[in-house]
Amino acid sequence: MLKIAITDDHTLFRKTLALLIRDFKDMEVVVEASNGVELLEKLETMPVDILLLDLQMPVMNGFETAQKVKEKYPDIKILILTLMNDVDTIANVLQLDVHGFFTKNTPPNELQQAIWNLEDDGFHIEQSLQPLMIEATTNPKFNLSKTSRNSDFTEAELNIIEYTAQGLKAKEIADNLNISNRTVEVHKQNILKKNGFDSMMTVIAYCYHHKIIKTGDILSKINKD
Amino acid sequence: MENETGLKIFFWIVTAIMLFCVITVLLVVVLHNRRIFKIKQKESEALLKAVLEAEQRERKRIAKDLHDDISGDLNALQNLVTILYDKQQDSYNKEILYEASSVLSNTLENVQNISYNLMPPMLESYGLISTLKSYFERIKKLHNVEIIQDYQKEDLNISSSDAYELYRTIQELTTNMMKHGMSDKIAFSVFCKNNKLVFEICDNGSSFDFYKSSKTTTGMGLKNIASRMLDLKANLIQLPAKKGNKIQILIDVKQYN
Repeated sequence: MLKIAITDDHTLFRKTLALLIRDFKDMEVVVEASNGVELLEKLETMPVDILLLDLQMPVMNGFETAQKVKEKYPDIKILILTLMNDVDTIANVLQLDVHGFFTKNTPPNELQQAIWNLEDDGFHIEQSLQPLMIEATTNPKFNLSKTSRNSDFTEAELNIIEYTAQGLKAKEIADNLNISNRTVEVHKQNILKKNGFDSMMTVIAYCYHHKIIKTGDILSKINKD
Repeated sequence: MENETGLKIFFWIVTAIMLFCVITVLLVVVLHNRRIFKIKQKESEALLKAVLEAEQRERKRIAKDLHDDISGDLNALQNLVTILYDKQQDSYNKEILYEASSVLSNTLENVQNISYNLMPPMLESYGLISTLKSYFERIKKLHNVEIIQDYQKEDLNISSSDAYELYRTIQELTTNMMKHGMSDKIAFSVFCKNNKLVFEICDNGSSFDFYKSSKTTTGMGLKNIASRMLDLKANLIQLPAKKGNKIQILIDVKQYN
Protein backbone atom coordinates (compact mmCIF):
# COMPACT_ATOMS: atom_id res chain seq x y z
CA MET A 1 0.00 0.00 0.00
CA LEU A 2 1.31 3.42 -0.99
CA LYS A 3 0.99 5.90 1.85
CA ILE A 4 -0.14 9.29 0.64
CA ALA A 5 -0.24 12.74 2.24
CA ILE A 6 -2.41 15.57 0.92
CA THR A 7 -1.65 19.20 1.76
CA ASP A 8 -4.15 21.76 0.47
CA ASP A 9 -5.87 24.62 2.25
CA HIS A 10 -9.17 24.11 0.43
CA THR A 11 -10.89 21.68 2.81
CA LEU A 12 -13.59 20.45 0.45
CA PHE A 13 -11.07 19.77 -2.29
CA ARG A 14 -8.77 17.93 0.11
CA LYS A 15 -11.56 15.76 1.48
CA THR A 16 -12.92 14.81 -1.95
CA LEU A 17 -9.44 14.09 -3.22
CA ALA A 18 -8.91 11.74 -0.28
CA LEU A 19 -12.19 10.04 -1.16
CA LEU A 20 -11.10 9.66 -4.77
CA ILE A 21 -7.67 8.28 -3.88
CA ARG A 22 -9.25 5.78 -1.50
CA ASP A 23 -10.70 4.11 -4.60
CA PHE A 24 -7.35 4.01 -6.40
CA LYS A 25 -5.66 0.63 -6.29
CA ASP A 26 -3.08 0.03 -3.55
CA MET A 27 -3.13 3.56 -2.16
CA GLU A 28 -4.26 5.05 1.10
CA VAL A 29 -4.38 8.61 2.32
CA VAL A 30 -2.76 8.66 5.75
CA VAL A 31 -2.14 12.38 6.24
CA GLU A 32 -4.32 15.39 5.48
CA ALA A 33 -3.03 18.87 6.22
CA SER A 34 -4.16 22.38 5.36
CA ASN A 35 -0.69 23.93 5.30
CA GLY A 36 3.01 23.16 5.55
CA VAL A 37 3.30 23.57 9.30
CA GLU A 38 0.46 21.16 9.92
CA LEU A 39 1.97 18.68 7.47
CA LEU A 40 5.42 18.74 9.09
CA GLU A 41 3.80 18.14 12.47
CA LYS A 42 1.90 15.12 11.21
CA LEU A 43 4.86 13.67 9.30
CA GLU A 44 6.71 13.29 12.59
CA THR A 45 4.46 10.44 13.61
CA MET A 46 3.31 9.11 10.26
CA PRO A 47 5.65 7.96 7.48
CA VAL A 48 4.44 8.57 3.93
CA ASP A 49 5.66 7.66 0.42
CA ILE A 50 4.02 10.33 -1.68
CA LEU A 51 3.13 13.93 -0.89
CA LEU A 52 0.51 15.80 -2.92
CA LEU A 53 1.29 19.46 -2.31
CA ASP A 54 -0.61 22.64 -3.17
CA LEU A 55 1.45 25.80 -3.74
CA GLN A 56 -0.69 28.64 -2.49
CA MET A 57 -1.47 28.10 1.17
CA PRO A 58 -1.56 30.28 4.25
CA VAL A 59 0.95 29.93 7.13
CA MET A 60 3.51 27.98 5.06
CA ASN A 61 3.20 27.82 1.29
CA GLY A 62 4.08 24.90 -0.95
CA PHE A 63 7.53 26.17 -1.95
CA GLU A 64 8.77 26.45 1.61
CA THR A 65 7.07 23.20 2.58
CA ALA A 66 8.70 21.29 -0.30
CA GLN A 67 12.15 22.50 0.75
CA LYS A 68 11.58 21.54 4.38
CA VAL A 69 10.17 18.12 3.51
CA LYS A 70 13.08 17.39 1.17
CA GLU A 71 15.56 18.27 3.91
CA LYS A 72 13.92 16.17 6.60
CA TYR A 73 12.43 13.33 4.57
CA PRO A 74 14.47 12.88 1.38
CA ASP A 75 12.64 9.65 0.52
CA ILE A 76 9.21 11.24 0.19
CA LYS A 77 8.30 11.89 -3.43
CA ILE A 78 6.56 15.19 -3.96
CA LEU A 79 3.88 15.89 -6.57
CA ILE A 80 2.94 19.56 -6.84
CA LEU A 81 -0.81 19.89 -7.29
CA THR A 82 -1.84 23.36 -8.39
CA LEU A 83 -4.18 25.53 -10.46
CA MET A 84 -1.31 27.74 -11.56
CA ASN A 85 0.19 26.73 -14.88
CA ASP A 86 2.09 29.82 -15.96
CA VAL A 87 5.74 29.89 -16.98
CA ASP A 88 7.02 31.50 -13.80
CA THR A 89 5.28 29.09 -11.47
CA ILE A 90 6.70 26.20 -13.48
CA ALA A 91 10.18 27.74 -13.38
CA ASN A 92 9.93 28.11 -9.61
CA VAL A 93 8.66 24.56 -9.16
CA LEU A 94 11.50 23.18 -11.30
CA GLN A 95 13.96 24.91 -9.01
CA LEU A 96 12.56 22.93 -6.09
CA ASP A 97 13.82 19.69 -7.66
CA VAL A 98 10.54 17.96 -6.79
CA HIS A 99 9.28 14.86 -8.55
CA GLY A 100 6.28 16.05 -10.47
CA PHE A 101 3.78 18.72 -11.42
CA PHE A 102 0.06 18.02 -11.77
CA THR A 103 -2.40 20.74 -12.73
CA LYS A 104 -5.80 20.65 -11.10
CA ASN A 105 -7.51 21.05 -14.49
CA THR A 106 -6.30 17.62 -15.52
CA PRO A 107 -8.99 14.91 -15.23
CA PRO A 108 -8.72 13.53 -11.66
CA ASN A 109 -8.40 9.94 -12.87
CA GLU A 110 -5.04 10.74 -14.43
CA LEU A 111 -3.79 11.41 -10.93
CA GLN A 112 -3.65 7.67 -10.32
CA GLN A 113 -1.17 7.22 -13.15
CA ALA A 114 0.78 10.29 -12.05
CA ILE A 115 1.20 8.88 -8.54
CA TRP A 116 2.36 5.53 -9.95
CA ASN A 117 4.80 7.36 -12.21
CA LEU A 118 6.26 8.99 -9.13
CA GLU A 119 6.54 5.67 -7.35
CA ASP A 120 7.85 3.63 -10.29
CA ASP A 121 9.89 6.12 -12.33
CA GLY A 122 10.60 8.70 -9.67
CA PHE A 123 8.97 11.55 -11.56
CA HIS A 124 5.88 12.70 -13.47
CA ILE A 125 5.67 15.33 -16.20
CA GLU A 126 2.43 16.34 -17.86
CA GLN A 127 3.29 16.26 -21.52
CA SER A 128 0.95 19.16 -22.24
CA LEU A 129 3.14 21.30 -19.97
CA GLN A 130 6.36 20.53 -21.85
CA PRO A 131 6.19 23.65 -24.07
CA LEU A 132 5.87 25.80 -20.95
CA MET A 133 8.67 23.87 -19.28
CA ILE A 134 10.89 24.51 -22.28
CA GLU A 135 9.98 28.19 -22.29
CA ALA A 136 10.73 28.44 -18.58
CA THR A 137 14.08 26.68 -18.75
CA THR A 138 15.43 28.28 -21.92
CA ASN A 139 15.05 31.73 -20.39
CA PRO A 140 18.65 32.86 -19.70
CA LYS A 141 17.60 33.93 -16.23
CA PHE A 142 16.45 30.45 -15.29
CA ASN A 143 18.73 29.08 -12.64
CA LEU A 144 18.79 25.85 -10.71
CA SER A 145 19.94 27.06 -7.33
CA LYS A 146 22.65 24.42 -6.74
CA THR A 147 25.44 25.01 -9.24
CA SER A 148 28.47 23.15 -10.63
CA ARG A 149 26.68 20.10 -11.95
CA ASN A 150 28.42 17.37 -13.78
CA SER A 151 26.75 17.02 -17.14
CA ASP A 152 29.27 14.69 -18.68
CA PHE A 153 26.64 12.28 -19.94
CA THR A 154 27.46 9.26 -22.06
CA GLU A 155 25.63 8.85 -25.32
CA ALA A 156 23.41 6.13 -23.88
CA GLU A 157 22.51 8.39 -20.98
CA LEU A 158 21.73 11.27 -23.33
CA ASN A 159 19.46 9.01 -25.33
CA ILE A 160 17.62 8.05 -22.20
CA ILE A 161 17.21 11.66 -21.08
CA GLU A 162 15.87 12.58 -24.49
CA TYR A 163 13.40 9.69 -24.64
CA THR A 164 12.31 10.46 -21.11
CA ALA A 165 11.67 14.07 -22.07
CA GLN A 166 9.55 12.81 -24.94
CA GLY A 167 7.37 11.05 -22.42
CA LEU A 168 8.48 7.46 -23.06
CA LYS A 169 8.24 4.96 -20.23
CA ALA A 170 11.21 2.84 -19.13
CA LYS A 171 9.86 -0.16 -21.04
CA GLU A 172 9.50 1.78 -24.31
CA ILE A 173 12.94 3.29 -23.90
CA ALA A 174 14.37 -0.18 -23.36
CA ASP A 175 12.68 -1.41 -26.56
CA ASN A 176 13.86 1.60 -28.54
CA LEU A 177 17.46 1.23 -27.45
CA ASN A 178 17.45 -2.56 -27.53
CA ILE A 179 18.52 -2.82 -23.91
CA SER A 180 16.85 -4.33 -20.87
CA ASN A 181 14.55 -2.47 -18.47
CA ARG A 182 17.09 -3.03 -15.80
CA THR A 183 19.83 -1.29 -17.80
CA VAL A 184 17.57 1.72 -18.35
CA GLU A 185 17.02 1.94 -14.61
CA VAL A 186 20.74 1.73 -13.92
CA HIS A 187 21.39 4.49 -16.45
CA LYS A 188 18.73 6.65 -14.84
CA GLN A 189 20.27 6.17 -11.41
CA ASN A 190 23.67 7.08 -12.82
CA ILE A 191 22.25 10.18 -14.47
CA LEU A 192 20.71 11.36 -11.20
CA LYS A 193 23.87 10.59 -9.27
CA LYS A 194 26.08 12.38 -11.78
CA ASN A 195 23.82 15.39 -12.07
CA GLY A 196 23.09 15.52 -8.36
CA PHE A 197 19.35 16.03 -8.69
CA ASP A 198 16.57 14.03 -7.03
CA SER A 199 14.23 13.98 -9.99
CA MET A 200 14.49 13.31 -13.72
CA MET A 201 12.18 16.27 -14.19
CA THR A 202 14.94 18.55 -12.92
CA VAL A 203 17.56 16.75 -15.02
CA ILE A 204 15.45 17.41 -18.12
CA ALA A 205 15.04 21.04 -17.09
CA TYR A 206 18.80 21.24 -16.60
CA CYS A 207 19.44 19.73 -20.04
CA TYR A 208 16.99 22.12 -21.70
CA HIS A 209 18.61 25.05 -20.00
CA HIS A 210 22.16 24.06 -20.97
CA LYS A 211 21.06 23.04 -24.46
CA ILE A 212 22.33 19.51 -23.83
CA ILE A 213 19.25 18.11 -25.54
CA LYS A 214 17.45 19.81 -28.41
CA THR A 215 14.09 21.25 -27.49
CA GLY A 216 12.90 21.51 -31.10
CA ASP A 217 12.78 17.73 -31.55
CA ILE A 218 10.88 17.30 -28.30
CA LEU A 219 8.32 19.95 -29.20
CA SER A 220 7.63 18.53 -32.65
CA LYS A 221 7.34 15.06 -31.12
CA ILE A 222 4.83 16.31 -28.57
CA ASN A 223 2.82 18.18 -31.18
CA LYS A 224 2.69 15.04 -33.32
CA ASP A 225 1.24 13.03 -30.44
CA MET B 1 -11.55 128.96 -14.26
CA GLU B 2 -9.97 127.69 -11.10
CA ASN B 3 -13.16 125.90 -10.27
CA GLU B 4 -13.03 124.16 -13.60
CA THR B 5 -9.47 122.88 -13.02
CA GLY B 6 -10.49 121.64 -9.57
CA LEU B 7 -13.42 119.87 -11.10
CA LYS B 8 -11.18 118.27 -13.74
CA ILE B 9 -8.72 117.02 -11.11
CA PHE B 10 -11.62 115.75 -9.03
CA PHE B 11 -12.99 114.01 -12.09
CA TRP B 12 -9.66 112.27 -12.84
CA ILE B 13 -9.23 111.20 -9.23
CA VAL B 14 -12.70 109.73 -9.14
CA THR B 15 -12.07 107.92 -12.45
CA ALA B 16 -8.79 106.55 -11.16
CA ILE B 17 -10.41 105.30 -7.97
CA MET B 18 -13.21 103.71 -9.93
CA LEU B 19 -10.78 102.07 -12.32
CA PHE B 20 -8.76 100.81 -9.39
CA CYS B 21 -11.90 99.36 -7.82
CA VAL B 22 -12.92 97.65 -11.05
CA ILE B 23 -9.45 96.17 -11.54
CA THR B 24 -9.35 94.99 -7.93
CA VAL B 25 -12.73 93.32 -8.26
CA LEU B 26 -11.68 91.69 -11.52
CA LEU B 27 -8.44 90.53 -9.96
CA VAL B 28 -10.22 89.09 -6.97
CA VAL B 29 -12.64 87.25 -9.24
CA VAL B 30 -9.87 85.86 -11.43
CA LEU B 31 -7.80 84.78 -8.45
CA HIS B 32 -10.81 83.21 -6.81
CA ASN B 33 -11.68 81.32 -9.98
CA ARG B 34 -8.17 80.08 -10.29
CA ARG B 35 -8.21 78.85 -6.75
CA ILE B 36 -11.56 77.13 -7.28
CA PHE B 37 -10.22 75.58 -10.47
CA LYS B 38 -7.15 74.32 -8.66
CA ILE B 39 -9.24 72.86 -5.86
CA LYS B 40 -11.58 71.28 -8.39
CA GLN B 41 -8.64 69.85 -10.29
CA LYS B 42 -7.19 68.44 -7.09
CA GLU B 43 -10.58 67.06 -6.19
CA SER B 44 -11.02 65.39 -9.55
CA GLU B 45 -7.51 63.98 -9.40
CA ALA B 46 -8.24 62.57 -5.96
CA LEU B 47 -11.54 61.24 -7.25
CA LEU B 48 -9.84 59.63 -10.22
CA LYS B 49 -7.31 58.01 -7.93
CA ALA B 50 -10.08 56.77 -5.67
CA VAL B 51 -12.01 55.35 -8.63
CA LEU B 52 -8.97 53.57 -10.02
CA GLU B 53 -8.06 52.26 -6.60
CA ALA B 54 -11.58 51.02 -5.99
CA GLU B 55 -11.60 49.31 -9.37
CA GLN B 56 -8.34 47.60 -8.62
CA ARG B 57 -9.38 46.54 -5.13
CA GLU B 58 -12.72 45.13 -6.20
CA ARG B 59 -11.29 43.28 -9.18
CA LYS B 60 -8.64 41.79 -6.97
CA ARG B 61 -11.20 40.67 -4.40
CA ILE B 62 -13.52 39.05 -6.95
CA ALA B 63 -10.63 37.40 -8.79
CA LYS B 64 -9.27 35.98 -5.55
CA ASP B 65 -12.66 34.64 -4.48
CA LEU B 66 -13.12 33.03 -7.88
CA HIS B 67 -9.64 31.57 -7.94
CA ASP B 68 -9.37 30.38 -4.36
CA ASP B 69 -12.90 29.40 -3.44
CA ILE B 70 -14.99 28.73 -6.53
CA SER B 71 -12.24 26.95 -8.44
CA GLY B 72 -11.50 24.79 -5.41
CA ASP B 73 -15.18 23.95 -5.03
CA LEU B 74 -15.41 23.04 -8.71
CA ASN B 75 -12.33 20.85 -8.38
CA ALA B 76 -13.93 19.14 -5.39
CA LEU B 77 -17.12 18.61 -7.39
CA GLN B 78 -15.03 17.22 -10.22
CA ASN B 79 -13.48 14.71 -7.80
CA LEU B 80 -16.90 13.62 -6.57
CA VAL B 81 -18.27 13.17 -10.08
CA THR B 82 -15.18 11.17 -11.00
CA ILE B 83 -15.72 8.87 -8.01
CA LEU B 84 -19.30 8.23 -9.11
CA TYR B 85 -18.21 7.76 -12.71
CA ASP B 86 -15.59 5.18 -11.75
CA LYS B 87 -18.09 3.21 -9.69
CA GLN B 88 -21.00 3.43 -12.10
CA GLN B 89 -21.89 0.19 -13.94
CA ASP B 90 -24.91 1.43 -15.88
CA SER B 91 -23.71 2.76 -19.23
CA TYR B 92 -26.42 5.43 -19.51
CA ASN B 93 -25.61 6.85 -16.10
CA LYS B 94 -21.92 6.62 -16.85
CA GLU B 95 -22.42 8.69 -19.98
CA ILE B 96 -24.32 11.35 -18.04
CA LEU B 97 -21.63 11.49 -15.39
CA TYR B 98 -19.05 11.82 -18.11
CA GLU B 99 -20.97 14.79 -19.55
CA ALA B 100 -21.28 16.32 -16.09
CA SER B 101 -17.55 16.02 -15.72
CA SER B 102 -16.95 17.79 -19.06
CA VAL B 103 -19.33 20.59 -18.09
CA LEU B 104 -17.40 20.98 -14.86
CA SER B 105 -14.10 21.14 -16.74
CA ASN B 106 -15.48 23.86 -19.01
CA THR B 107 -16.86 25.81 -16.08
CA LEU B 108 -13.57 25.57 -14.27
CA GLU B 109 -11.74 26.86 -17.30
CA ASN B 110 -14.21 29.72 -17.72
CA VAL B 111 -13.94 30.68 -14.08
CA GLN B 112 -10.17 30.69 -14.37
CA ASN B 113 -10.29 32.86 -17.47
CA ILE B 114 -12.66 35.32 -15.79
CA SER B 115 -10.48 35.42 -12.72
CA TYR B 116 -7.38 35.92 -14.83
CA ASN B 117 -8.98 38.73 -16.82
CA LEU B 118 -10.03 40.47 -13.64
CA MET B 119 -6.58 40.25 -12.09
CA PRO B 120 -3.73 38.03 -13.21
CA PRO B 121 -2.71 36.07 -10.12
CA MET B 122 1.02 36.56 -10.66
CA LEU B 123 0.93 40.36 -10.93
CA GLU B 124 1.68 40.81 -7.24
CA SER B 125 4.05 37.89 -6.75
CA TYR B 126 6.01 37.89 -10.01
CA GLY B 127 5.64 41.46 -11.21
CA LEU B 128 4.64 43.20 -14.42
CA ILE B 129 6.95 41.59 -16.98
CA SER B 130 6.09 38.02 -15.98
CA THR B 131 2.43 38.93 -16.08
CA LEU B 132 2.75 40.46 -19.54
CA LYS B 133 4.57 37.39 -20.82
CA SER B 134 1.87 35.12 -19.49
CA TYR B 135 -0.82 37.45 -20.84
CA PHE B 136 0.62 37.42 -24.36
CA GLU B 137 1.01 33.65 -24.11
CA ARG B 138 -2.72 33.36 -23.43
CA ILE B 139 -3.57 35.76 -26.24
CA LYS B 140 -1.51 33.67 -28.65
CA LYS B 141 -3.44 30.58 -27.64
CA LEU B 142 -6.90 32.13 -27.68
CA HIS B 143 -6.58 34.20 -30.86
CA ASN B 144 -4.80 33.63 -34.09
CA VAL B 145 -2.18 36.29 -33.61
CA GLU B 146 1.58 36.35 -33.74
CA ILE B 147 3.24 38.22 -30.91
CA ILE B 148 6.87 39.25 -30.84
CA GLN B 149 8.15 40.26 -27.43
CA ASP B 150 11.38 41.97 -26.51
CA TYR B 151 12.26 42.86 -22.95
CA GLN B 152 15.45 44.84 -22.56
CA LYS B 153 14.58 45.58 -19.00
CA GLU B 154 13.01 42.89 -16.84
CA ASP B 155 13.38 44.04 -13.27
CA LEU B 156 11.12 47.00 -12.95
CA ASN B 157 10.91 48.67 -9.63
CA ILE B 158 7.21 49.42 -9.95
CA SER B 159 4.59 49.29 -7.22
CA SER B 160 2.00 46.58 -7.76
CA SER B 161 -0.69 49.22 -8.05
CA ASP B 162 1.17 51.01 -10.86
CA ALA B 163 1.98 47.67 -12.45
CA TYR B 164 -1.73 46.94 -12.50
CA GLU B 165 -2.56 50.22 -14.28
CA LEU B 166 0.15 49.60 -16.86
CA TYR B 167 -1.01 46.04 -17.36
CA ARG B 168 -4.61 47.15 -17.88
CA THR B 169 -3.48 49.81 -20.35
CA ILE B 170 -1.45 47.34 -22.40
CA GLN B 171 -4.27 44.82 -22.20
CA GLU B 172 -6.75 47.43 -23.45
CA LEU B 173 -4.50 48.49 -26.34
CA THR B 174 -3.87 44.89 -27.37
CA THR B 175 -7.55 43.95 -27.27
CA ASN B 176 -8.40 47.05 -29.24
CA MET B 177 -5.82 46.24 -31.90
CA MET B 178 -7.09 42.70 -32.29
CA LYS B 179 -10.80 43.42 -32.06
CA HIS B 180 -11.14 46.59 -34.10
CA GLY B 181 -7.84 46.73 -35.95
CA MET B 182 -7.98 43.09 -37.07
CA SER B 183 -4.24 42.83 -36.56
CA ASP B 184 -2.64 39.39 -36.65
CA LYS B 185 0.84 40.51 -35.71
CA ILE B 186 1.75 42.50 -32.62
CA ALA B 187 5.20 43.56 -31.48
CA PHE B 188 5.68 44.49 -27.87
CA SER B 189 8.86 45.78 -26.29
CA VAL B 190 10.10 47.33 -23.06
CA PHE B 191 13.23 49.45 -23.03
CA CYS B 192 14.85 52.51 -21.48
CA LYS B 193 15.44 55.70 -23.43
CA ASN B 194 16.55 59.10 -22.18
CA ASN B 195 15.77 58.26 -18.57
CA LYS B 196 12.33 57.09 -19.56
CA LEU B 197 10.94 53.64 -19.33
CA VAL B 198 9.22 52.89 -22.62
CA PHE B 199 6.52 50.32 -23.32
CA GLU B 200 6.05 50.11 -27.05
CA ILE B 201 3.32 48.27 -28.85
CA CYS B 202 3.01 48.05 -32.64
CA ASP B 203 0.59 46.15 -34.83
CA ASN B 204 -0.20 45.57 -38.48
CA GLY B 205 -3.97 46.18 -38.30
CA SER B 206 -5.96 49.18 -39.42
CA SER B 207 -4.66 52.49 -38.14
CA PHE B 208 -6.59 54.55 -35.68
CA ASP B 209 -6.02 57.92 -34.09
CA PHE B 210 -5.74 57.11 -30.41
CA TYR B 211 -6.70 60.51 -29.04
CA LYS B 212 -9.52 61.04 -31.50
CA SER B 213 -10.90 57.57 -30.86
CA SER B 214 -10.65 57.98 -27.12
CA LYS B 215 -12.81 61.12 -27.37
CA THR B 216 -15.42 59.79 -29.75
CA THR B 217 -15.72 56.22 -28.59
CA THR B 218 -18.56 55.15 -26.35
CA GLY B 219 -16.58 52.29 -24.89
CA MET B 220 -14.86 52.91 -21.60
CA GLY B 221 -11.65 51.09 -22.49
CA LEU B 222 -9.81 53.82 -24.34
CA LYS B 223 -11.20 56.57 -22.12
CA ASN B 224 -9.91 54.74 -19.09
CA ILE B 225 -6.44 54.64 -20.58
CA ALA B 226 -6.24 58.42 -20.45
CA SER B 227 -7.22 58.35 -16.76
CA ARG B 228 -4.67 55.66 -16.04
CA MET B 229 -1.95 57.65 -17.77
CA LEU B 230 -2.82 60.68 -15.67
CA ASP B 231 -2.71 58.61 -12.51
CA LEU B 232 0.66 57.10 -13.46
CA LYS B 233 2.04 60.49 -14.51
CA ALA B 234 2.89 58.75 -17.76
CA ASN B 235 2.62 59.89 -21.36
CA LEU B 236 1.03 58.00 -24.15
CA ILE B 237 2.21 58.98 -27.59
CA GLN B 238 1.27 57.70 -30.99
CA LEU B 239 4.09 57.62 -33.50
CA PRO B 240 3.56 57.65 -37.26
CA ALA B 241 3.63 54.16 -38.75
CA LYS B 242 3.56 53.03 -42.37
CA LYS B 243 1.12 50.28 -41.55
CA GLY B 244 -0.90 49.70 -38.42
CA ASN B 245 -0.11 51.60 -35.27
CA LYS B 246 2.83 52.40 -33.07
CA ILE B 247 2.08 53.47 -29.54
CA GLN B 248 4.51 54.25 -26.74
CA ILE B 249 3.90 54.67 -23.06
CA LEU B 250 6.63 56.71 -21.41
CA ILE B 251 7.30 56.86 -17.70
CA ASP B 252 9.94 58.78 -15.86
CA VAL B 253 12.45 56.26 -14.57
CA LYS B 254 13.27 58.54 -11.64
CA GLN B 255 9.86 57.78 -10.22
CA TYR B 256 10.99 54.22 -9.72
CA ASN B 257 14.48 54.65 -8.37
